[in-house]
Amino acid sequence: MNPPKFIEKFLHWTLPTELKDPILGDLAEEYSCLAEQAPFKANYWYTRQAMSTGLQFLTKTKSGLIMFLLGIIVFISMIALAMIMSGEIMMFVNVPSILVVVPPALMLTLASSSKQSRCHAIKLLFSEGLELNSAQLHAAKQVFTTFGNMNMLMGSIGVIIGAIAMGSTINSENISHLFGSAFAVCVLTLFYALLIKTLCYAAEAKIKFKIINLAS
Amino acid sequence: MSDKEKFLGEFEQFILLSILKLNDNAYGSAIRQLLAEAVERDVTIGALYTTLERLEKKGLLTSKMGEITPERGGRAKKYFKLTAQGQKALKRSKEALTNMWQGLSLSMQHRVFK
Repeated sequence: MNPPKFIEKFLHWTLPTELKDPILGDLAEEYSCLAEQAPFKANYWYTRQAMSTGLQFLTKTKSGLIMFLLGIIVFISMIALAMIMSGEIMMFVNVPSILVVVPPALMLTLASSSKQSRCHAIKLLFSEGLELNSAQLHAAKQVFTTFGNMNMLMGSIGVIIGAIAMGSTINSENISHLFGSAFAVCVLTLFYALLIKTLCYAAEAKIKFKIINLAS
Repeated sequence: MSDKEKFLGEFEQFILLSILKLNDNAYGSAIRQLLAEAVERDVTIGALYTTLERLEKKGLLTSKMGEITPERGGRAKKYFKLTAQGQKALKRSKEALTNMWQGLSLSMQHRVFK
């Protein structure tokens, strides 16, 4: 009989490298003895030990990740709060504007980066112990730089397309309508682009910190 | 060692004594079970290893990786041993406690404030 897989994986993820073998081994040893007598009790015991130990080491081994996620949550919360306070939140939602910005930026980023560097880029955000050399770190950072910049470019293009469309149809009768809702939709592409660029910048900064650490 | 580090906490003393008692078989799980049986203290493995690491950093004990066994899921044990400094710290704690206990008995008259 084996300990609960998910709980064991969580503990493995939180433990520092030098303590993975001793702690997981000790728990597995005691679990196998307990499971022979009472399997349900053994599972409860293992879960309690693993969760308590995992949470204890989480702040030590994953402090970078916790701070990064906390930063993202605060950023999103503040933006959402500003949107709610400025009126109706639905006026910031426009599917065509999202489609103008995100899919082209994503496709262009996929086309200009390798699968390995994209995998590294994602893993670096969530894994503290990933050992990469300087070239791999730079390649991973470049993924976020490209995606952020592509979003900004697509957002700017979206604004220009909207401005051209508005300019070509503008006349004295519809000017108030065009500089009302149509202008808001046009600027939304830039808004989405800025949001994504900010998140990408935070991810870039996280990887850049690893590059600086590696160099020093 | 600084003045503060010369003193051992109760849990630290229990751990060092467990290692002495277990001799060559002092590893996490054995220490945890001995503490549960001898002093009825059910500690989590995380709390135990945090203290063991702290004592190792203080130079009171040393560790070495041991053998891999199937019942441990192919993972190695980490054995602990007291250093001379660790034994000295334990002896000092014992002497300090003995001195403090001299001439005292825990009868009711000492506990009640009048």
